[in-house]
Amino acid sequence: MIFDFQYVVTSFTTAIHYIPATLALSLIPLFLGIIFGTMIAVCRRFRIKFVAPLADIAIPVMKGIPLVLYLFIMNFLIFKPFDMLAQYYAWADIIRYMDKLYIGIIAISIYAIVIISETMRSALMSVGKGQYEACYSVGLTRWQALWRVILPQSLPVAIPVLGNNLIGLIKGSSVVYLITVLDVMNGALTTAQINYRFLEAYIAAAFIYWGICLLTEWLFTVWENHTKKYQMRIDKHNLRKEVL
Amino acid sequence: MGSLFDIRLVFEYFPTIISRFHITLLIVVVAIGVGLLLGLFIALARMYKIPILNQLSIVYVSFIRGTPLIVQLFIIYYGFPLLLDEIGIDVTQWEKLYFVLIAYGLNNAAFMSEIIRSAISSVAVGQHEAAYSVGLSRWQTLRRIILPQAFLTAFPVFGTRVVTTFESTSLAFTLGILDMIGQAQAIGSRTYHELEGYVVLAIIFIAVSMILEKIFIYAEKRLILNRR
Repeated sequence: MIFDFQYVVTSFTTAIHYIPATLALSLIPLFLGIIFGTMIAVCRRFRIKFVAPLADIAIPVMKGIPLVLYLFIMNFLIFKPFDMLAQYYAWADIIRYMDKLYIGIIAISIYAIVIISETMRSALMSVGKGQYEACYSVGLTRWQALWRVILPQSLPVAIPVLGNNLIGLIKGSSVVYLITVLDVMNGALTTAQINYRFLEAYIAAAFIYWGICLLTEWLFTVWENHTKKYQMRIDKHNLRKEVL
Repeated sequence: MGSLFDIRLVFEYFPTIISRFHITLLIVVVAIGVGLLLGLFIALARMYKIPILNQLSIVYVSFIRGTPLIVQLFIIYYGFPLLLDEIGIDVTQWEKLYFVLIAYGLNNAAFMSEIIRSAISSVAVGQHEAAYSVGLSRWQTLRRIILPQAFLTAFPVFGTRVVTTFESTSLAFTLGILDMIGQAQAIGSRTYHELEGYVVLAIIFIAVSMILEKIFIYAEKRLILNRR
């Protein structure tokens, strides 16, 4: 079989329609991951009772499990009980057309929360202890200190890593084809199932993922520079330069 | 079909699944080995800005970092035979494992090259200049002055990369390799008790990645102590 670029184009045009599914599979987990991951990281930073020791054990343990395993376990836990019920009540059609996209989103979200909580923890660690002390000394509460001083400072540190995390999630979301979710990967393969041009289909999928990842990288660089603005302003009019 | 989860089966499946551990280990070792060698090559090509190689490596690293590992696995699996067929090497008799090893090696090379490059650039420029000033050649400078210093900065990141590679071996079964996950799937499809197999896998993955992390943290401490 000789490589034919025509089939790459065919696969590409089919797969492009499934970009929203891939974005849903990576952006929703990112969003949930930032919210819950930050909450976990803050709890660990402030040593909140019961939550912090629990997270200290659970996060490193959960970090060791690969994404595929989360997906399979979630697929089994959500799908199998439902499947048994369906066999009992003969709902075969409902099962066949059930959208497994949600299972994928749930599995990737759990993975994302674990990963991003580690990102946020190291970002919070990067803010010096003196900052907290300074906040408390001027009478800010713990919440005010976090919201007004600590988080704005840790954001520029976290953003590039979050960008890497998002790229990891976009790439990782391609495993959902294993549980027959229609994302970019599976969309590209639908044409290959008819004409048996698998290599061309995978190359088409690769180009789409590459494009999405390059775009993400660029957007996060722009965002990073935006949050760094006030730092750059300080650099520009550096007081020390004038003093020395 | 009986119950969803039976704890006795976890113990029953454990020996069967861990008996395929050597395949996972082989993939990790080959991937890291190939990755280090090829990665160093790519990093040097980019550092010294060798005309065509520099641009090629930029595109290569960007492609590997921007596409999922599964896609790369399948592109190698379907594309490599075509490529080698052009040269006249027949690979139809090759085992699938070789393609997996090639794919993981190529994948790791891109990430390793980034690690090596950032480590080398973290060594101060003065070190290069000092080495050249005492008459060392470019290669001598690299081997005797720069790489030993870069090694220390690269080591923690390298450790993380090894753990990540170990976790990413969980995708090799998509090509039909009978590694730990492939074994668990085979058991699952035979007995309809998939969850027990996944629990065994989770335990093995957690244990091994934690042990690897501990080893690297310990080694890092020793390295820093030796330096002082």
